[in-house]
Order: sequence, then structure tokens, then C-alpha cells
Amino acid sequence: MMAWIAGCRSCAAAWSNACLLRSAALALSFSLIAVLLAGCWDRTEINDLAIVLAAGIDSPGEGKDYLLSAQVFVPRQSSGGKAGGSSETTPGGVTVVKSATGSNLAEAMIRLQTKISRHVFWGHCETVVIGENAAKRGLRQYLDFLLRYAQFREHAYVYMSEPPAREILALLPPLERSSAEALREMGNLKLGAKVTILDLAKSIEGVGQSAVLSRLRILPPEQGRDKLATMPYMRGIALFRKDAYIRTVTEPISIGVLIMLNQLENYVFTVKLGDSKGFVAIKPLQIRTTMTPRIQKGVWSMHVQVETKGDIVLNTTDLALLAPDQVKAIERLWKEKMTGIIQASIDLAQKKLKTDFYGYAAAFRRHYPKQWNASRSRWESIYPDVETSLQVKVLIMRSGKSESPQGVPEDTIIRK
Amino acid sequence: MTKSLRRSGKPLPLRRHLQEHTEPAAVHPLSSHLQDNVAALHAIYAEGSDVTFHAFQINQKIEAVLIFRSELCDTALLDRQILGPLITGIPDNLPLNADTLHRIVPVSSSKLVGTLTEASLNISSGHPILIVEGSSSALTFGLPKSEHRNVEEPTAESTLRGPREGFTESLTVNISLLRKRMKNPNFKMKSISIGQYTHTTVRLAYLEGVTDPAIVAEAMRRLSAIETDGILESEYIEEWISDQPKSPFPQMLSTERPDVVCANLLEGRFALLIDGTPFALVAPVTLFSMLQSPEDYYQHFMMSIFIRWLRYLFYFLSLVLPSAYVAITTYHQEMIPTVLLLSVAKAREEIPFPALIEALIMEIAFEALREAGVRLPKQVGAAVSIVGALIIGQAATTAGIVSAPMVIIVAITGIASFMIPRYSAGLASRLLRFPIMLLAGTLGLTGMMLGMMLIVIHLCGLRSFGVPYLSPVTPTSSSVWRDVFWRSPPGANRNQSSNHRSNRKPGMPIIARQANKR
Repeated sequence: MMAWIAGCRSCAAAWSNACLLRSAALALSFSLIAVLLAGCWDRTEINDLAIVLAAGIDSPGEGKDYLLSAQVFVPRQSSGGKAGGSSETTPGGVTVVKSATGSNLAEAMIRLQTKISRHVFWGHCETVVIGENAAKRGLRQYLDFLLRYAQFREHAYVYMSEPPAREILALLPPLERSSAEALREMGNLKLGAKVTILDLAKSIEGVGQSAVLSRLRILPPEQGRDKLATMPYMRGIALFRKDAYIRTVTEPISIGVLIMLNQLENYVFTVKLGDSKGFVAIKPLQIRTTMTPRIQKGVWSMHVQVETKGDIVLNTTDLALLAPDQVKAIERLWKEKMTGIIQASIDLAQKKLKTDFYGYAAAFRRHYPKQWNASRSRWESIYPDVETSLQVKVLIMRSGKSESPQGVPEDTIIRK
Repeated sequence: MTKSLRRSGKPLPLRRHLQEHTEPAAVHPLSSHLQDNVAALHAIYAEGSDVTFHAFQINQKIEAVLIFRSELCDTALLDRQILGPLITGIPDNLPLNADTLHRIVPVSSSKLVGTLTEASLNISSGHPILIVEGSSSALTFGLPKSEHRNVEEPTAESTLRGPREGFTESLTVNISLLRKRMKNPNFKMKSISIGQYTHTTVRLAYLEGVTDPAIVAEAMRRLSAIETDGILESEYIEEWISDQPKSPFPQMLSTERPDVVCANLLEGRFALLIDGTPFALVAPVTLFSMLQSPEDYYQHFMMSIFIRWLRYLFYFLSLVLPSAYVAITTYHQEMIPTVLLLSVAKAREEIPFPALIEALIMEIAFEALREAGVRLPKQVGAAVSIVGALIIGQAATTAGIVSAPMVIIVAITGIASFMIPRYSAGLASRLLRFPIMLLAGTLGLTGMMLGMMLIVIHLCGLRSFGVPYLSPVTPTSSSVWRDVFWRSPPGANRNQSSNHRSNRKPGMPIIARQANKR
């Protein structure tokens, strides 16, 4: 009997020991689950995301609410037949545009969320379009928001649009998946100024206190097509002093601006030859602008050197373009043309708008840090009087596939 | 009460019981009376055994009994070499006892045994026993019938270039395959018999002067500490003598290629050859040696380097690819390139499950499919691949159960795990994939890294016979790196054996493990 009790007691002890172990293991696994579950709540499936491809900022005017628009991707499985068959129809609803108003952008963003059944996800917003009216109110608030709110990418491209930004975002371009992608591709092709959010903020906050943005317009849709089935395109350059929009320049001055910013690609210069009826079109292969600041005896001057090389792509004159003299003559005319354009854009910045778009201040600060520090407060008065000397060097590399003009009788061609 | 009784109750000591029963004559020497010996052996082989007791007279004078298992002995040789001469051809003037017969029977391997245990062991191994009236020792002859498979191409480790011989189940054949390649007399072997019932012969092969003697001694110690009923495959031994049998990473390399064994011997490792299985074990190994294929050395070194890097990359992928997909698509969508995200979003739109569940479904289905393919006969195996490709690949996507990107991820993971040349090394990444996937699904990339860190910590602590598992990367011995991250052509890498011996630095302790404490 005693043995039985003793055995029972020892069994009970073993029991409680096992119990303790088991409850410890249980507690441990529960705490592990708790840790893991905490992470679990953050989970967002891709199905639950409203992926924003482009953001648009509009404002009806001073003192009124801001309108924030988001171009949201509609993840619908495109069935094979539809995509392959009819390219004539509009690409129905790959994106939708949702907008919300607010007294500031953050408020508008939160209100936008209330209109969309999924998490609005700005992490892939690679294009920001700012409407002209919104731009006039100053870019400061937008930049602060875009660079502070964690989801935005600072390398998103920024454009200014002549029509409201919302209309640009609403377009469904036939060629691309979305107008955001179209604008991104155009930026990569350098069809205008390629400016990211970070570039924009840096150029406004930098010593130059100015910025340029490409200006967008909407290509009129083809007849009989849906009015949304068209593309935005870049026309002109919008100029900003500090963070405020001042004016837009168009060709040819916008070309000069782009040359000064070292950003011109995809352009053709047309040169009219004085004595003959035709013209010659030259496509530059490379344009390089270098700025050399100089301070001598208290006189601030800037030497701008533009070097360019190009090919002739069109010739409607009777010149055979083989004789060096002919090429020299064309080069001279091209040089004159470029000098004129660039000089006009320099004059516009220095004399008319008195705003340093081309980075004079940065160049002076880099080359003459002492003088710059001594006179940085007077820069606004110094800048318009900086003597700018412009030197353009041009070189025609090739005359194209044909040496002599095509489509004219042999005997009319001028060979020397 | 009953419950606690059962808890404290000890199991019946079955093993000891059996042991006593089967070895009744553990210390009994043979007697000089023939009838006593025969009676004792008859008692051992009383029922259900098929031992032949063949009684005859030597030179028609002295009683003798030949005891053998007819299915294990070469009976034709037995008749010709033993019975024939003994019955008729012994000169009369010789004293007829076991000692004399030992010298005159024309069999090259004959031996005298003095105890009943030895006698019965020899009978079980297929060696006939001759007991002569008046002799207290018996004579055994090495005339086993060698029933074994021919040397064939190793099926689990095929190479395009390289020897096509593989080990067989016969230990003697396997040893001959090794001896054929390694002609230096320093190629030594130690023998040990393991298993109370199977008495499996295990040979430890090493190169004297190349292999660290401390490692050989430790291996012999661990082998002799094994207490088990039987050894049927190399894995039995591996689990007994590995440093950490609970680790999913194999600490011994199993191979069925004699050339691989020889290469490892040259690099200062030892090999275990086990009777009855075509798989030899090699140790000590490191993670990087598990990721090497014999073909790395049989083809141009540039190709080998490329393949080796590809293998490292895919080994990593086979471990983390599904987890990375789950983590990035559910927590870090901003990391995916925009266009790719849009495609993934399109593909995932109709899928009812979260990415984690989707990944688990697909990975488990894949593992099941793979297992089914391994077990099935070859003719049915084709059906499995059709079912796998069509049902899991095609139909599941069209039905909207899993998304196409997930199928791609699982497919790449599958290919990646097939790229690992050692089947046993791939098991770890196959298995650990699942916990990492769960961590990735609950904590995102943080969880994935957490899992990776745990694995690396585990690997850092792992040792194979005293050699750190991650050497030569950590602890670093950069002189060996040219055979880890690189495969230098011969000349640059001439002195192979010495540079591998440096895996274990002289003072490094071998972590002794009590093999009998399991």
C-alpha cells in the first residue's frame, strides 16, 4: 500500500513536470505565432493593390482646393483574341483615373483612398504631371509632399501640362499601355527636358533657384476615334523662377534652352542657302555645351562653348556636297543659325527674365568659391550683367548615303 | 493511474532476450568429440534453417562432418576441392587432424577456428566448416558463392565524361574497383563487423600519410560504438556516426562511384565501404564539397568554373526563390519593376489564394509529384510527368487556382534543386524551403533573412568529423579557395591532397560524439 502511494506520488511528480514542459512549449509557440502574426497584418496581396502609374496635380486657382488625380492600373486579364485582332478600337480601360480634392495634397490623397476599393499604392508612380494653374501656385508644396511621403519615387519624371493634368492622365494611348508609360518613354527619348522629382527639387533649391519642365499638350485624336484614344506630346519648355511658373518658350528658343541645358537630342536644323532656292537639313549626332566662368578684375564673364557634329539628312539644293567649299559654306550657315538660337535663349534668361536657368551660379561657385561666397547675396544683381561669350563649333561628318542631289538631271548638279 | 503506470513502465528487454537465445555458445570452445560439436551446432540450427550436415569418412578411416549452407557456398568447388581429395587422396602416413588438413586441402583460403560462435558465424557467411573426429578446432574454407550484380553504370550519379563503373552490393567487388585505381601500398583498409544480426562487414579505407590519423581513429571509435541489430544501407551508419544526425545537412557524402571515392581519398578523406549496398560513405565533407560533381574535374576547367558558379547560384535559388517571390509580392511591391508588377498583377487578379498559400500548394504538389516519379517504375513514370505538366502546370493556371508567375517560380526552383549533383545535399534545401517560405509569408524579406541567418548559424556550428562544415570559407583558408570558387587547371592545383588536408588545421579538435548515446 505504501509502495503504491509512493509510486503514485512519483508518477504525479513526473506528471506535473511534463505538464510544465508542455505548457512552456505551448507558451513559446504562442509567442512565436504572435510575433509572426504581427508581420502578417502588413501583408498586402497584389490583388488588393490599386497600382498608381501617374499622379496629376491640378488647381482651379489661388485659394481654392487642390485636385489630385491618380492613374490607376486595371489588372484585367487581356484575353488573347481581343489583343491580337482589332487594333482599331481603343484599348478599353487599361487604366482609370480617379481624382479627389483637398485643401492640400496629403488631404486629397486620403480622400482619394476613400473612392478606391483597394490600397492606393504610389510606389510605382513614375510620372507626375502638374497642371499649369497648379504650377502657377508654386511647386513647393508638391515637391515637399512627393519627397516626404514614403511611397513616391524620387526618380519619377515631372512634366507641366497646358490642359489640366487630369485630362492628360485620362488619355488611353493606342500605342502604349498607359499615358504614364508613354510619357516615361518620351522622357527617356529626351524629346523634351528630362527632369525627375529630385532634379527639380535640386535645381530649385540650388544656387540657380530656377527650373525648367517640359510642357505637355494633347494630340488631337484622329477623326472618328474616341477622344481619349490619343497621346500627350511635348511642346515647349516651361520656365520656373524659384518654384513659380513664369512663362513657356517654344521653338526655336526652347531648342536654345535645351542646348544650354545639354539636353537636346532628336532635332534637325534646317539651313537655307542664300543663293540657291533649296535648303539643307542637318541632324546633329552630338551636341556638347561647356560653360567656363571667369572673374577678371572684378568682371564676371561666362564663356559658353557649344560643339556639335552632324550628318546631312536632306538636300534640296543643286549642290553636290562633295567640294570642301560647299560643305564649309553649309557649316558656316549652320553655325550662324545655332548661334542665333542660343544667343536668343541666353538673352531671354539673362536680360528679360533675369533668371539663371543654365547653371551659371553653380559654375561660378565651383570655379571661384571665395568670390562666390563673398558676393552670393548680390548674385541676382550680378547675373544679368555677366558677360556671356558664345562660341559654336560645328562639323559636318557625313553627307548621308548620297553624295549628289537625287531626283534632278545630272547636268544641273553643281559639282564645285 | 493506468496512464501513469504506462508512463513509468519499462519496455520488455527484448533485445537482450534474443541475444542470449541466439548465441548460446558464446564462449564454448569446440570439443574434441565430433558428436558433441555436431550436436551443439544442430542445437543452434535446430529449426527452420537450411544447414547441410554432410557426414563422411576421411580416407575411409576418420569420421568427419562438413557443415555448410548450400545456397551460400560454391558446392561444385566444395565437391572438387575438398570432398574429393579428402575421401580418396590423402597419403596414409599423415596424422589426420584439422591441423594437418589445413595444410593439405587444396583451397587457398582456409582457416582454423576454435569456438562454436566462430564456427556458426562462418557457416552463416557461406564458409563451409569441416569438423574432424579428435580435433578441437574446425577448419573453414573460403568458398562462398559470389552471387552479385555485374558492375554497371551508376544510375544516381551519371556523368557525360568519366568512368562508367559503379559500386555493386558486393564488398569484394567494390574493394577490387578501388584497388584497381589506387595502387599505392599506403592505401589501407580497416575492417569492422557491425550489427548483431546482420554482421555486416564495414571497411574503412584511407591513404596512410594523406588522411589525418586522428580522423581515422575517431571514425573507428564511432564505428565500434554502434550497437544495432542490423546495417542494411549506408544511411544506417551515417545516422549513427554523423556529428549531428539531427541536422538536415548531410555530414557524409554517399556515392556509388569508385572514382569519387578515390578522388576523396586523395584529398585526405576516408571512405566507408559497406557490404550489401552500392553506396560508399565519405567524410569529412564540407558544404562546398557536397556541391561538387565529379565532372567538375573531367571537363575543361573554364566550363567547370561556369557550372560550379551556376550550381552555387541555383542552390541558393532552390532555397529562397519561392520565399523571395512571396515576400516581395506581398510586402515589397515597390521592389518589382513596374512593367513586371503590372504583368504579375494581371496574372494574379483572378487567384483566390494569398501568395503564400499559392506557393505552398504548388511546392507541395511539386514535391509530391517528384516523389511519385521516383517510386514509380519507369514505364509509369512518363504518365506522372504528363499529369504534372498538364494538370499542375497548364490546368491549374487556366482554372485560376495558381498564377502563371508562380508556376514559373516553382519550375525554376524545381530545376534548381535538380542541379545539385548530390541527392542528399539537395534534401536540405528542399526541406528548409518550407519554413523559410512561412517566415517570408509572415514577415516579408525580414523573415526570409531571419531564416537565412538561422541556417547560416547552424552551418557555422556544424562539423563533419571535426572539420567545420563551411570551411574553407569560414574558418577562412584562402589557399583552398581556388578549388571552391574556382577550379584551377592542373599545374596550378597539382598538390591537391595537401591543400585539402589544410581543411582541418593541426590543432583543431575533433568533436567527439558518443555514438551509443542516442
